[in-house]
Amino acid sequence: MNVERIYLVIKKEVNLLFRRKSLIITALLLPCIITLVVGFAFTGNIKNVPIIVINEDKGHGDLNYGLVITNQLMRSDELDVKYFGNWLPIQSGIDLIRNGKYSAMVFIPQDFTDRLLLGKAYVLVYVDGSDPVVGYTSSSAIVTVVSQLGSKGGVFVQPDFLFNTNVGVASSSIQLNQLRFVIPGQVGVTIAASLTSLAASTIVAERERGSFEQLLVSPITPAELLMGKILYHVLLVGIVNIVSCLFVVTVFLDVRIVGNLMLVFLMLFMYAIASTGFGVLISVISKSQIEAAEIAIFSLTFQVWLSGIVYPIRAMPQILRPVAYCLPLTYLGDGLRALMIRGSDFATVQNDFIAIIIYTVLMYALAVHFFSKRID
Amino acid sequence: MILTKDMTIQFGKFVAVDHVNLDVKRGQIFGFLGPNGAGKTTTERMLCGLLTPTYGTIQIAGYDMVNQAEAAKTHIGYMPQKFSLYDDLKIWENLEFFAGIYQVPKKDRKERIEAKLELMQLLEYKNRITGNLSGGMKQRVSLATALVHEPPLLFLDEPTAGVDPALRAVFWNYFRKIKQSGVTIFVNTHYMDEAIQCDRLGLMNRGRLLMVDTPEGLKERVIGGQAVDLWVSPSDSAKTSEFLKNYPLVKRVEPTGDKFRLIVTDSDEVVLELPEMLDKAGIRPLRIRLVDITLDDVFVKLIDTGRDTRDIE
Repeated sequence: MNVERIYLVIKKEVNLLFRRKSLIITALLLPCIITLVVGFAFTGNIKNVPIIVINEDKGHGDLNYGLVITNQLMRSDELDVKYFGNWLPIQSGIDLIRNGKYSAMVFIPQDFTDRLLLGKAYVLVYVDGSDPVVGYTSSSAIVTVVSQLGSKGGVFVQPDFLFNTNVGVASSSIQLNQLRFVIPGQVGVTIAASLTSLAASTIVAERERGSFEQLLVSPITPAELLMGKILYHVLLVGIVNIVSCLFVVTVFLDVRIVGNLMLVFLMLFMYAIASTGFGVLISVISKSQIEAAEIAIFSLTFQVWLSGIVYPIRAMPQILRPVAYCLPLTYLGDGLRALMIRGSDFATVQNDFIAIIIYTVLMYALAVHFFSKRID
Repeated sequence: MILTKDMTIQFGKFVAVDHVNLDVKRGQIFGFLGPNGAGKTTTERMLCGLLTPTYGTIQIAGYDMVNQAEAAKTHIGYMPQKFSLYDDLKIWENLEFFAGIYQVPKKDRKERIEAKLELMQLLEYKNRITGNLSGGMKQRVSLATALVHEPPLLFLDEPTAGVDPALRAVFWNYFRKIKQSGVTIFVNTHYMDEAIQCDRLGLMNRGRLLMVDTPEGLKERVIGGQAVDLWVSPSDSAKTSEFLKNYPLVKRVEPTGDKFRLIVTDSDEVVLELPEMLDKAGIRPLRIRLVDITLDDVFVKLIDTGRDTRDIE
C-alpha cells in the first residue's frame, strides 16, 4: 500500500471538486440543508385538525352535556370544530371525511345527557383511517376531551377508523393497518425514484460519452430530443413500474384498492411523466453523471420527508407549508390516499391532477429552455 | 458554400477565434491547418452550429447559421473528432437513426443507407454492434452516417487522427470520391501529407487565420521562393556570411546551426553557379544541396512568425 499514491488521489479529487463549483453545492451543502429543513419540519405539533361535531342531544331540563362537550372540543388547540347541530346525518358526515374535507367526526346521540346522568353515556367517533398521524392525533384529542366528563358518571368512546379494514372495535386496542397508510406514498416514491434517477442520467451520460456531437449537429430540436427521452422512459419504464407496483400491492400485500382503478393508474401515470421530466431537467443542467445522481437522490429525500406522506403537512411550521405544496409528491400522496384507501371520486382529486400536470409542463419547459442554451 | 465575416468567439477574456473571414467555394476540399490549440475545432464547431459566435456572421449554403440554424443544419454532414455514435446499436441501426433524424424520405432510406455502406465498404458488416468495431471501422461508420442525408457540405474534424498511414490513404480516397459527387469538404488536419491533397488551405494560429491559398501558393508566399542549403567549415563561416550578403541571386539567408539556407528564385541556376563563385571568394563549400520545400516548412515558418509578432506585442 503506497500512502503517497493514496494521498495524490485524494488531492486530485479535492482539486476536481473545487474546479466544479456546482458539485460543491450538491456534494457538500445539500445534505446539511436538507437535514436542517426536514428537521425543522418535525418541530411542530399537529394543530387544527378539521373535525365535524353532530350534536343530537336533547338535554335534560337546563342541562345539555352535548353542548358542553362541543365547547370543550372547540377550545382544543389540536382540533378545528365544524358544528352541525342535529341536522346532518351520520352518513353525510362520513362522506365529508371521504372527500378529504374533514379528518374526524364526533356524534353525540339524542339521549346523551340523560344517559350521562345515569352513568352510561357514549359518543360515536369516526376517524379518517387513511392518514396515520392525523388519525391518531384527532382521536386521542377527542378521547381526552370527552373523558374529562367521566367524573359525571363515565362516557364510553368508541373511535371507528374509517376506510381501514383491520380496525379494532374496542377503544382500548385500536389496531390500524399500517400498510394501508404507507402504501400510497410508498408507491409514489418508488416510481419517482426509479424514473427520476434513470432520466437524470440520460442526457448527461451521452454528453459524457461524447455520443452527442453528431446528433447536435443534426436538425433535431431540443424539444424533440427531450420529448423522445421522456416518452421512452414513461411509456416503457413508467408503465411497467406502475403496473407491477399495483400488482404487488394488491396481490402480495393484500391491500384492497377501494376507489376507481383507472383513476389510480391515470394519476400514477401523470406522476410518472412529471418524475421523468424532473429527471431530464436534472440531466440537462448537470455537468456529470455523478452530479446528476446526487441531485436526483437528494431531491427525492427532500420530497419524501416534506410531502406529507410520512408526516402530515398540517404538523409542519407555517413557513414550510408552501414548500410542501410545491412538491409533486404532496399531490400524489394526497390523491392516491383518497383514491386507493378512501375510495373518493374524481372531484376530490381533480386539484391533485391539475397540480401534477402543471408541474410536468413546467419541468419540460425548463429542460428545453436550459438545453438549448447548454449546447454552447 | 461557407462564408464568414469577422467570425469571433470569446470564452471569458480568452479570444479563441479572432475575426476570421472564410470563403469556401462549392466543390472544393478545403483544408484547415494549424497547431494544437490554434482554434481549428472551435472554428469548425461554430460553422456546424455547435457554438454560437460572440461576434460576426456565418453563412452555410446561403443560410445564416445563427438565425436559421435548423435549415442550415440540414445541409451539412459532420464527422466529429471523437466517435459519437451509439455503441450499443448495430451499424445499420445507427445509420437508420440518423436517416430518420434528417428526415430522409422513408422510401429512399434503405437504398440510401446501403449506398453509403457500400461506399465505405461496410455493407457486409451492417449487422455488427458498433461498439465492438475497430477504430478504423468506427471512423468509416461515422463518415457513412455523416453522408446518409446526402449533404452538399461535409465537415470533418481531424478524421484520420490515430489512424495508421495505410488507412489514412484509404480515407483520402473516400474523400476524393465524395468530392467527385459534388460535395464540398471542410477538413481540419495537422498532417501535412493530407493538407497537400486539398484544393485550398487555410492556416490558423492562435485564433487568427493567417493565410488562405493553394498548397503551392502557400509555399511560394511563405517561403518566398526555392531553397538551397549550403554547408561550410566553421572557420569560413564569417566570410561566407559576408559573401552571401552581396550575392545577387540570393533573396534571403537563414543561418541554422552549421548550415546556411538560401532562399532563391531559381535553385537550379544557383546550384550550378555557386561553387565557382565561392571558390573565387576563397571559400571551400563542404556540401551544397537542393531543398524540396514541404508544407511542414511553411507551417513551422508561419507559426514562428506568428509567435514573434505576438511576443513583440
